[in-house]
Amino acid sequence: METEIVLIICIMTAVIIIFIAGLLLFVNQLKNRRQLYEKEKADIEKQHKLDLLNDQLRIQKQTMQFIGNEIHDSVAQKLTLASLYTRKLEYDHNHPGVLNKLDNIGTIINDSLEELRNLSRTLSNDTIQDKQLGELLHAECQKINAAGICKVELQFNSGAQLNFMVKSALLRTIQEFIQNSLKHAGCDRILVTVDEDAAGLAVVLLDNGKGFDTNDAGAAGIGLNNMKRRITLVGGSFNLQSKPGEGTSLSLFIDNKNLLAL
Amino acid sequence: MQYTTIFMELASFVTGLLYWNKIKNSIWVWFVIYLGFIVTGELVCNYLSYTSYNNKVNTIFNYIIIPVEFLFFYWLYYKHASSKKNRLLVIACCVLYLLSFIADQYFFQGKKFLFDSFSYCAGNLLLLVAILSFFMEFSKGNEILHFRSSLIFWVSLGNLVFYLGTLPYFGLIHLLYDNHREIFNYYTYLMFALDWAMYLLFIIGFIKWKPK
Repeated sequence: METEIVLIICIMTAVIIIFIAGLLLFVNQLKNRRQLYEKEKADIEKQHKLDLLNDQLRIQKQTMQFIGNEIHDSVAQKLTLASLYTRKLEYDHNHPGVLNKLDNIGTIINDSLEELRNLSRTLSNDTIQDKQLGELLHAECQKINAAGICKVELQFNSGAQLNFMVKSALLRTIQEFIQNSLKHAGCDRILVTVDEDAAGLAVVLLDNGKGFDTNDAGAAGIGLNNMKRRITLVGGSFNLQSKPGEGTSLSLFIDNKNLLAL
Repeated sequence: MQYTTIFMELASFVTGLLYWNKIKNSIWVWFVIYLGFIVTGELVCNYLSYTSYNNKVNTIFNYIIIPVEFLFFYWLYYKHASSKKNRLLVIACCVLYLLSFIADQYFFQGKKFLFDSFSYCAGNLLLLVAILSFFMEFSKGNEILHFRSSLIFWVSLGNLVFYLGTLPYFGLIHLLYDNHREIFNYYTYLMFALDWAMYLLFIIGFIKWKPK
């Protein structure tokens, strides 16, 4: 009798344990699957954004090359023709007053032609693709220093091989920071440091301008948002610090796995 | 008590009919037909138990209603198994049940065992195996993320609650009835409660189901 009761109790207990164990397993599996699903969704979204950025950059490059070619093939050729006409008019008219004016017109046309040719070359060539980040930043700093408005100092300590998207994102962000400092900060010195360590690539930009309140909603213009977007899309971190009267600093960091990824 | 059971069976059948438009293009049409069959069978047996044919009631249950019950659910789990391994497992369960049914007829007739019916207990156990293999497969796929709107989840939960909960009852029925009448009575109430729970889960399934 007792044995039978024990048997009944054991079987009932086993049933309850099986049911509860099954329930706990199911809940645990559901939790794991949800986490995995969220991670997969985030990975897909990130890849999608990167693919969009890739496509955007490719289309921009193609558009710029097309514009460059059209400038060379169409506008430059018409200006060349205009320059030839003015030369012929100079030859046909000997009146000094007219000759001076024709000479000025010819000079303006030739200057425009030269600028257009430079612009066409800039739009058409693969500068970012072909050159290292150090060379590109060096050229950028030289161009600004030559204007004499502000001294840009570059300290470049990296030999890392960067993929096109990271290079492009860093270059455009640094260019944007420098442009913002020149236009709004009223600074006379900008420091650009690029350092590489075991973890990744760190870029620090400093200006000695008037600074601004980063909490001010009007201060966060499209430029700042674009800079942040470019860097976060290539997996980097973006940290902008500024206070009125204390200048502005921007720290960027991209870890090693994102430098060569994509 | 058995009238409340018939009421729950009827309620789940009617709920299935109310959601006919939602299920008409899926295999769940057969589930509604199965529920209608169960309700009809219960009503017929209930009626016969008050007539001179009351000795046929057990025959109808043992040879028609219970085999259809098990075979239908084996078929349902076969249809929902996505891997070949699970489909073979369900087929094996079905074949073993049929063999136990044959064994019951030819070897165990007239012999009093611990359990009421060898084939019922075998069918119950094998159905639990099919249900557990379904849950394992279900928990590994993406469907688990939308379990609330999965009808097969609610049906399986209902089956698990009833068949797992009543396996000891039907397994030890003679022991309980002969020697522990009080435990038997309480367990009989529990058996009815688990039966209601099963049909209630079927009703919830029909309401929450979102066809793909």
